[in-house]
Amino acid sequence: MERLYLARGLDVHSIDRASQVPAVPTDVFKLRRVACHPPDLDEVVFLTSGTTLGTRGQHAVRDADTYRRGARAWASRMLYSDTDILHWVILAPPYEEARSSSLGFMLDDLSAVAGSSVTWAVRGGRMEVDAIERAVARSMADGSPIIVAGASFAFVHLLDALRGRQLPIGPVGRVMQTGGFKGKSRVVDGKTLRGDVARALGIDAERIVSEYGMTELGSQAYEGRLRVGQGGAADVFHAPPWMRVHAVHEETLEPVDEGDVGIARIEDLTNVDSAVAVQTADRIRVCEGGFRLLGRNEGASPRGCSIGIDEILQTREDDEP
Amino acid sequence: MTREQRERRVMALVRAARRLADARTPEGREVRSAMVRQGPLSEQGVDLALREHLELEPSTWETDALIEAAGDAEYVHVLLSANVFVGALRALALAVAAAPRVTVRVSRRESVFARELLRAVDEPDFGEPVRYAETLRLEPGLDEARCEVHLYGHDETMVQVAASLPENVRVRAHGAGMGIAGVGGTAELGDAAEAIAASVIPFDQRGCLSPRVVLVEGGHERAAALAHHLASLLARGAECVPIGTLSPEERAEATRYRDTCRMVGDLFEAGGGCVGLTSETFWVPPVGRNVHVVSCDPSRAAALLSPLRRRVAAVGIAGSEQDALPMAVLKALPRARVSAADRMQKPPLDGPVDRRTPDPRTPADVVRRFGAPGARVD
Repeated sequence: MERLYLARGLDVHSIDRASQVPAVPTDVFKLRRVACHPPDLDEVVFLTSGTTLGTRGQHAVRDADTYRRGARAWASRMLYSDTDILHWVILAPPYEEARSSSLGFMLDDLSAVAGSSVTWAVRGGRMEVDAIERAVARSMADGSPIIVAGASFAFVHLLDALRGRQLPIGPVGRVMQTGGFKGKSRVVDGKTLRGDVARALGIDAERIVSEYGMTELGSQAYEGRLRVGQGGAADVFHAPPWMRVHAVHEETLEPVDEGDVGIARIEDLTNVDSAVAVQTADRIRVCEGGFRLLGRNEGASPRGCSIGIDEILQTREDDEP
Repeated sequence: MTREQRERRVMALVRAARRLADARTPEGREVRSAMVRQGPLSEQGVDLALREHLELEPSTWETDALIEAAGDAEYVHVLLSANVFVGALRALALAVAAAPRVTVRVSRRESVFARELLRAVDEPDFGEPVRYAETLRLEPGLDEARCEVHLYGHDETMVQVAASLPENVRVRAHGAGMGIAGVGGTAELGDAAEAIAASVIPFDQRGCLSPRVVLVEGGHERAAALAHHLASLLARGAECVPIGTLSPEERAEATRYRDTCRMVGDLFEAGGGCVGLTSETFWVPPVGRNVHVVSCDPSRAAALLSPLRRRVAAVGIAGSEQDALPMAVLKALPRARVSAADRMQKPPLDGPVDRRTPDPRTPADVVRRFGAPGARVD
């Protein structure tokens, strides 16, 4: 870290603003332990799903309560400010089977504190539509809303499992989806997926909320679709007050002018055990109340026959010569 | 075609390439100025590539090997990508050696060299001239089994094009790749750095033979010494052959790479590019004159390289092939083209440059080989 300060010409003792802290590129989490404490004090270590040359990124957390409290507070505001009890359908294997997933950890915790029932819908690698149907029936019976949560690729698997059938979750049902598709399912354009999921679950597309989070961050941002009229904007990601998102120039890493496109530099106070400032490659435009996500800076396809970084990252474990 | 006809066609291309390589000929002057206008290489970079990295003097053995590898077809359609431009010579040589009728679609981003090369072919006994096509098309009325499509480009292109082809057509697919250099325990570090720099400078690491990662035997201190030498040589080299233009995305990746190196290992600035240094762990730097040096115990080489097995097209060796690390690297990457570290960008004109997929395959094979993650790869 010291070398990053030196490279930026900064004296660590002269810093008095969070925005002056050099941001740690997310790649570093894949290559080195980023933590302010020794490994024996780790309460939980989250691992990224993707690998860089065979290594999964990791985020060591000393006090998972910091993570829990932040996640609960912001999810209850952005996903279910109208209720404090829901039926959770989580499109993932039970958390006990994948304890290194930060998404699994968060959903396990949220469903424990705000759940009337919890259904982990992936068992033995299969999407259990019957189990989801039972959860829907419970929701209809007791009137508590249902929330279907999972990664985007899991929703593709759900649609495939439904084979065109509808599974209405009721008018106050909602969906939380996050993340991409790489290597996990067929790739579906975000707008198409939103429309298909809305049709399949019989809800208005505006009740599908995208989450912006990553293993390297303790906090999450959510689209304001369920907060329109209460300070939220539908297609804008809103970050909690303890998380700041800036657009910076992708080469100089200096803040871009207001409204210009840049890559997301995130200052997240819940990352107190690792790196408070994290540099992502996600292209964003900061706007009133939050930011719009424009996609990932995948790097240009190199001009020439050299391989691009992104292609290397797609190298599969089952690759054979 | 007879063997003599095939050889005549190949050598006509080689002679045309010689005219382009010579800066004193009108063709040589014209191609230089057009290549510089097109980018991305600098003026000196274009000149270096034309003078030093075109295969202008193939031996009989090499020409024989190329003709043998080219096989026999009635018709070949070549889709050139924005390849390292000198690659067009080999691609066209393979095509004209294989078939009497050839069409080529040049890339929009690299349209100069192939056109200039074909324009410079001025020999009546070349046979039917190579024609241009804007889109991929097979000649109607031809036996599909006697047609080949030669594809150069990234995985996505391979899949897209192959999926659109009739199943009887054969496809030569040359995907993107990268080079690795291995520095053995007996290598003199100054010589090794010089050899590696000679392969890094041409094409600004844009080639599938470019050594983006250097594995060094003998511990971290030795790797650090090599990285230091290499950075000095690249800085000096940039004074004679300046780096070309990089896109904003490429510059952004370079910023990210530099910051990551600063946190995870060491970074040496190197005349517009940089050399990163780590021990026993590495990642691939972006294009531009960036190289990652990693100290590697020979016993760990196979595991370290395992995720890149399919991606490495070339291995360059500094030191003796009997050194433990080069031996381990060659064992881990059996399909890569192997050369001395300073010859990585000077492959003989002896067949496809890429030995990973040397033979024509069915379109379905190509889709499987280059297809979506999760697909089984044979």
